[in-house]
Amino acid sequence: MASDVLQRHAVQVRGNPAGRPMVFAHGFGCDQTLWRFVAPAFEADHRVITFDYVGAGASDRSAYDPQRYASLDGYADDIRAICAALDLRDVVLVGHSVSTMIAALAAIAEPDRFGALILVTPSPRYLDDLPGYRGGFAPADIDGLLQMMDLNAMGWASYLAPIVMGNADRPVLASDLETTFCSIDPAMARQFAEVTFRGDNRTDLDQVTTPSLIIQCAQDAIAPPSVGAFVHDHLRGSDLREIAATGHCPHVSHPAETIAAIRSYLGAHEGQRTAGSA
Amino acid sequence: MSTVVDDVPGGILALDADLRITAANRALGVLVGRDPTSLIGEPFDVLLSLPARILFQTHVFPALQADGRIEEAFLTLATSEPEPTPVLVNAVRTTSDGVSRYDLLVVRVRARSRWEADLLRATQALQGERAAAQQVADKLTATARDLADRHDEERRNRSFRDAFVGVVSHELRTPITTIYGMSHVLKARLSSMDPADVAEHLSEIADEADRMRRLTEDLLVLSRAEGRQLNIGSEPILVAHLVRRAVDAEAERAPGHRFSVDVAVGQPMALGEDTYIDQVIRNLLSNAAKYSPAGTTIRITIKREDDGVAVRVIDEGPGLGDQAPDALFEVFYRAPGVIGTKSGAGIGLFVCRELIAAMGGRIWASAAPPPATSGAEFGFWLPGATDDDPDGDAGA
Repeated sequence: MASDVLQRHAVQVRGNPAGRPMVFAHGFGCDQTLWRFVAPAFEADHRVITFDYVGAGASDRSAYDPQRYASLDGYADDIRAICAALDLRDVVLVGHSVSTMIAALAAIAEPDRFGALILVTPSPRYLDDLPGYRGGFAPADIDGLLQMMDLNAMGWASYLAPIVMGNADRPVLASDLETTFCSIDPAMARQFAEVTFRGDNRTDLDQVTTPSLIIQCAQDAIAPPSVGAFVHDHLRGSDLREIAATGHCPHVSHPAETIAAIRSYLGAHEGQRTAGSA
Repeated sequence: MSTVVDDVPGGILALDADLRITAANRALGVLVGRDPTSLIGEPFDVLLSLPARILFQTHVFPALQADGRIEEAFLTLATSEPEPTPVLVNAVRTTSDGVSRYDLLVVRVRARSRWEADLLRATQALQGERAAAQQVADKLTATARDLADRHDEERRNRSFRDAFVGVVSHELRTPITTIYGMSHVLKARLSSMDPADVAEHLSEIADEADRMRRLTEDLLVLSRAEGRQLNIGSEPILVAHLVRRAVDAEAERAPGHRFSVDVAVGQPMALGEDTYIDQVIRNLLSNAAKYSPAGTTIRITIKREDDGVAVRVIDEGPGLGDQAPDALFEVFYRAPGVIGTKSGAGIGLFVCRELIAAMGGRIWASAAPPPATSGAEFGFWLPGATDDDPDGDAGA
């Protein structure tokens, strides 16, 4: 049962077996390989766990269940199942993009399991809800995104390609795809996009009791600084750290700064935790 | 940029590690409707439409970072026109001294993208058609299965009917033959016959007529049960009354047996239909009389059990032997040892089971309870009426 979960999500466990566990959850697009610029830096002190959501990367794509993943709760359940299978406690859960909200849902459901949340470029809602809230996007933009994803999937762009191996329909692709690190099933990506960009998790933020660090990019078209500030306001006991970076993936474009931000946060809190328990 | 690069029919861009534009050719300026020099220093994704920004940040850039190159990414550029400009993007990442830079080729694909959009629509329509065809196929499969099921049921019914007609015609012919023969003898020789012989013949005619009557009653119930038309009322019934009446009637038919009725005080009223309960009791009593030797006692107990009424008919016959108790209640079942020695159609116990089940009760067969060492018990249980009157006149 436990090994089923680990296999389904292509779970990788590395680092210091005695260290405080860190679970890295990839966001919408790509898979766990995106953490390869950041996660190894924590292997000396932590037990480092990375995984793929079902439909992404090396996960068991046949296990994809459109009903389970019709909301972010299905993804949050996956993270909890992985943590339970490995019997992880006091987990540092690191989520990027939509996985910040998935992490929040997991922490709300099981606050005892998670000791800290690291939220990289979070947004609780991508659609505008004017006048009070500006998420950055209108419904038509999301329709455009879905259509563009369909066209990319049809054009066989490598980052939106079906199963790498054993796809009898498209044998010609196999050699191209061997060199592709990120791949994601188009049907999964499409539903993930809908759930992510049409969702609204603003009220969930108020229910999170786990301490958290928000990592925000100075210029991010998808999760702009105003959204980061909203998250900071609504997450009790959260720290906000802005990285002088452009884009939505600081763990890819600015790994050193991202590592430093996480490390200093965990270091400061490690001191507090030790002081608190003394 | 050099003239050559400027004149290439496609936009060329260079980005720094922070994805800011460090160089752009004239063709790119034309694509986005801006002077290329004014683009220097701007983040690349401001050139993109909002949906394309998401796709670039979540898919294209991570893949470019992971793989070092990306080919044929379909994106759209933001323009001053209402429709964004569709483009294909190829990009490579190069690293020197640990610092990345990105070179992008951006080609407009208006005609191709229109064609692709058509193709996409056609593909989606085709998928719809395929799903619809699958639905039709599924429906056909279901219909075929349904027909096969009905055919099987039809065949079962037919073989049941054949067996039924065979058994019934045999069972009815025997008493009719007797009645026919005896009545002809009486008619022809009545005046010359010894009165004792006349009485014996009349008694045989009456017995056979009674056997026919019972059989036809069973058949009637059976035909209703087979056609699922058994319609049972739910009246509160005082079972003890029915048992006493049935025992009186059966005692006349089986003068060689002793009957004892044991009614526990405080039984509730049962739910059911009195004519059917009566028929079940008569069937069980005549069965007990048939399969136990003359001179033995047939004991009937009536008790309150599980908020209902349990009736047991216990004989001192040979018992069930090796027979599976449930098999006794199957239609046309005849005990192995009795075929050819006892009359019967193998219908009575089946009818009892159908009637009791229709009234929401249970029926069973077992060895007679201790201390008896032989004999059989046939019993049934019926649910009690809710307006339960524990005293009733059960003890009267």
